[in-house]
Amino acid sequence: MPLLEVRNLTKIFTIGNVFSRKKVIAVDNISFDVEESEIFTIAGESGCGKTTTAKIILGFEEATSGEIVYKGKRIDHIHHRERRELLKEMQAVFQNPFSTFNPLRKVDRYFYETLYNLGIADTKEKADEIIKEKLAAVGISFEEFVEKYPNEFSGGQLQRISIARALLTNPSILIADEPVSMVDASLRMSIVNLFKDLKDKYGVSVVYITHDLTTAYYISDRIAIMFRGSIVEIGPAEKVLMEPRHPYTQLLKESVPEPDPNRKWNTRINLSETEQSEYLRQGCKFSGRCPKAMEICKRESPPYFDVGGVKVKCFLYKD
Amino acid sequence: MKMLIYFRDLMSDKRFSFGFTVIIILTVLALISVMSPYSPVRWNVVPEEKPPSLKYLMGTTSLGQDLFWIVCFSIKNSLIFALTTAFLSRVLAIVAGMISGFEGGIVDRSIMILSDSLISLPRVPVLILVGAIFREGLNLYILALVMASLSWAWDARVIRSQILSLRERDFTLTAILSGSKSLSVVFKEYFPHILPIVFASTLNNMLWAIGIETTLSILGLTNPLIPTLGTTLHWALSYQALFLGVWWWVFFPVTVLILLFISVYLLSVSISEYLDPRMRIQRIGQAR
Amino acid sequence: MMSVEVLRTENLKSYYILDIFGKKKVIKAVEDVSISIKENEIYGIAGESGCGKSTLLKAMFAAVEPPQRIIGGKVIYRDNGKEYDVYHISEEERKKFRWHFISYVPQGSMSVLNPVMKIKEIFKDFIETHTKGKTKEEIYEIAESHIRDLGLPSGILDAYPHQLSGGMRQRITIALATVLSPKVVIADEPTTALDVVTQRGVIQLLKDIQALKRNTIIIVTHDMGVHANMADRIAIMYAGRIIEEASTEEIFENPLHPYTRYLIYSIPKFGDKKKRESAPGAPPSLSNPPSGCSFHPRCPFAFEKCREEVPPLKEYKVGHKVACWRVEEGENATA
Ligand SMILES: Nc1ncnc2c1ncn2[C@@H]1O[C@H](COP(=O)(O)OP(=O)(O)O)[C@@H](O)[C@H]1O
Ligand SMILES: Nc1ncnc2c1ncn2[C@@H]1O[C@H](COP(=O)(O)OP(=O)(O)O)[C@@H](O)[C@H]1O
Ligand SMILES: [Mg+2]
Ligand SMILES: [Mg+2]
Repeated sequence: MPLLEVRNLTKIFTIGNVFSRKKVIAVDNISFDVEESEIFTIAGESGCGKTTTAKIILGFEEATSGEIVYKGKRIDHIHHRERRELLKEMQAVFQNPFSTFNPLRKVDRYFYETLYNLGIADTKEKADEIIKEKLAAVGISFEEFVEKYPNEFSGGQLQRISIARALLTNPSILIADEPVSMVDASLRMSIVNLFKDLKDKYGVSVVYITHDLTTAYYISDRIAIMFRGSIVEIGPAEKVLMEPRHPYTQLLKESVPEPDPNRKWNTRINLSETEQSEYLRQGCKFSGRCPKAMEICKRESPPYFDVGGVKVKCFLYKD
Repeated sequence: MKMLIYFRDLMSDKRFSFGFTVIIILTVLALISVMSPYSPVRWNVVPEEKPPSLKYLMGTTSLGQDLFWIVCFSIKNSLIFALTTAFLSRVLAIVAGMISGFEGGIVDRSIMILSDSLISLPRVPVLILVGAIFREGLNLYILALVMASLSWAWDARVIRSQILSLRERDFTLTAILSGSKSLSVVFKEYFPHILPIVFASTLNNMLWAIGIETTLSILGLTNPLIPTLGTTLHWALSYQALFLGVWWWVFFPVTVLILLFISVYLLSVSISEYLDPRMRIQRIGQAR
Repeated sequence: MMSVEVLRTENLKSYYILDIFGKKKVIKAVEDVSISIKENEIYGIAGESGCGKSTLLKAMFAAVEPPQRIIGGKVIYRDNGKEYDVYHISEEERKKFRWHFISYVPQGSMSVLNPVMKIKEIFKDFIETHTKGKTKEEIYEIAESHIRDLGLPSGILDAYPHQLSGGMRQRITIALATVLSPKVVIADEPTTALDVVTQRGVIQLLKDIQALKRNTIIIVTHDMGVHANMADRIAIMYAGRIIEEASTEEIFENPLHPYTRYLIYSIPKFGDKKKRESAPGAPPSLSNPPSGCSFHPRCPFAFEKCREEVPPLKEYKVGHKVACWRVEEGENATA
């Protein structure tokens, strides 16, 4: 049994006022599983629905339809009390470490609160002991951490502190929404390596959300590529990223700038002018930009085709 | 300890140190009113219309009162009145604003409709009406209550919109992930951000209260037997003090009023600058 | 080929001087920077956030506003064979250089396009403010042909900013900054908030502009992949100083400074799961920088001298400059 199952999840936002209502299908009928002790990546450009998916899993946002199942039990629509119990199992790390913590509160307060509120520690000594252990796991010393405000740390330090807070409850699964996007390239790997360690040493599963395919390749076991609300390709990271099948995955991979001046891009790309137009497109949403688009792509939304253990949502693989 | 540091920082601002000194002097005057040898409501206890001298520091009035002691009583009453009004209306604003912003839905809409109607209500005519209805019966506490219920709406709105934007920030989610309950999120996470608004508006509300009280009193719409800066001026004007050359009867209360206004204003500007979250974040720790 | 210099800084120092309720604080954001930028090149500046990149750009653009101050050094513009010491000419003269000789796309500028104006009105406003005596028709003509030259869809001129995607807005701010054909274009992290596909579009545009107008582009980003793809030369900045400068090929093939090596070797690649490490520790505070070489607390090779003296930026090979005592003492070998 998978640890976490997302079944046919859809989220529709209605924007605008009474006079002009628009619907945005932020997440469009997606399904995936996360196994125990696995790093599962959701990758895609901004606005493709990654954060919305994460928020629904965490219960901060309500799905329009679909199910979230954790350890065989549905967790969408559960009661407050159960939701709090679940915090011990499932924790999260956000994109911007500086907005993760209240700038007017000391960072250590969140640590003590987590431990006391969830009944993990009842004395200061016990709490300090757990905090020290988790901080050590992310490479921050207790002394440099206590009694400090967020702006007294660098972004990289603060992100590691944010991970340490999420680890306090010994969760089985961590939802990490673009945890390195706001961290300097020079410090990125110190954080990416942490997730790898968590999996290897403690068997924690991670849902790693990113638009950076190289770090995704570096740490993940399986990967789902999202485009405008849909998963267009899903499978083992090695296969999806080394031989991408969906034209969008190919474009995404090819657009990663390589730190090698001998391998500059020599092809050109087209960009969409607006996000709206693609969200509302009939058929395959990528067909407007796809170099291999066929007639059928503009009319019908493709189903998934199985290509050597990878599921691809593209008519190129029909038959 | 922390308070001391804040205080020291603030005192390094000239506006604050001036305002603070004046307020301290006025407070001392208000406090020593208890040592007054005369009751403020008794007339003809000293010779009439004596100019300021060593014996009568601020001179005496046409009613035979020692103006110095009357002014001391007035400061005390005016300050208490202003503080009461500001305190009551702040409590209303915080409670309404926070509930409205955090609960949302129907509660939010009702509170906002109420506050909208209060904001569009012309306040001075309403107060004049209240004054006319209560007449002599209008004591300072009733007036404070009426004024407080007229002046919370705007700040409640500001607080509400602040809460709405704070709710969207990630640290709200971190607090929830840390197992905090709604009420504790509001108080621990949001209150520190609300504080500067509350502080600055408390002082502004005090200014407004003193201004309105003075206006109503000069118009003779409050109980003239309670000495306040307003009623003192009301008596002076109705005895045509300036015309009769009893200038000190007008000069001292007006001077005190002006000093009070300026100093509260300077305190409000200085404190709200100091409490501005952006400034606070810079100051916290030795910012990198 | 002899390349002609177009802009240079000489021992430039720029600090932020803050007064926080009586407590004075000095942030030494740019320390002793001397760089020389040539005509017709793409010059990249890399470094982690907070190391002073934007501060340096603002000083070069001569748009310094308090609390930022120029503490020492010079910025020289070279236009039509004549040199101008920017901080020693009048504000009037300085203004003439802005947007005509040098232009600047500030960090995050795509989110500051006026939301109630159509793109063509934004162009009109901009051109009107910075040139004289052009009719409305002429101005629209200029805007349209510029947009066409850059290969952007001309339909966007009639759109409002919010109707466009982030990547398109960023490209418009770049188009705006280049509409008066400046010789030098400064772009501060033009791709940082964008995802890879959009980022690629923006880089493509910058390269197109450079090819078309034969001007100079100074681009700041902390993404070494972006630099590899477009820059001709790269400077690495750390804690307010330039610590290494060389041609792009040289920097990637033969990085000398330990910090530069971390920057380059920590980037993962497809098909290679070898463990990659970031530089240990955290960036230093610029108001209280470490003694000696500011990288020494994080440097695995630091020795006595590194803690005591600031290493000078020296040329070790033609066109390759480094500020590192270890290289100076010849222990660099090949490692
Ligand atoms: N609260 C909301 N109201 C309306 N639209 C939203 C809301 N949140 C997200 N969206 C829209 O949903 C789409 C997906 O957003 P998001 O999940 O944040 O994408 P990502 O995290 O991949 O960048 C975007 O078009 C965004 O504008
Ligand atoms: N307006 C400002 N006031 C005070 N300090 C500033 C200001 N702008 C930048 N700084 C400080 O100057 C240093 C360098 O900043 P900046 O040049 O923006 O770095 P970068 O662009 O490399 O990220 C940082 O420590 C930053 O906090
Ligand atoms: Mg997101
Ligand atoms: Mg910058």
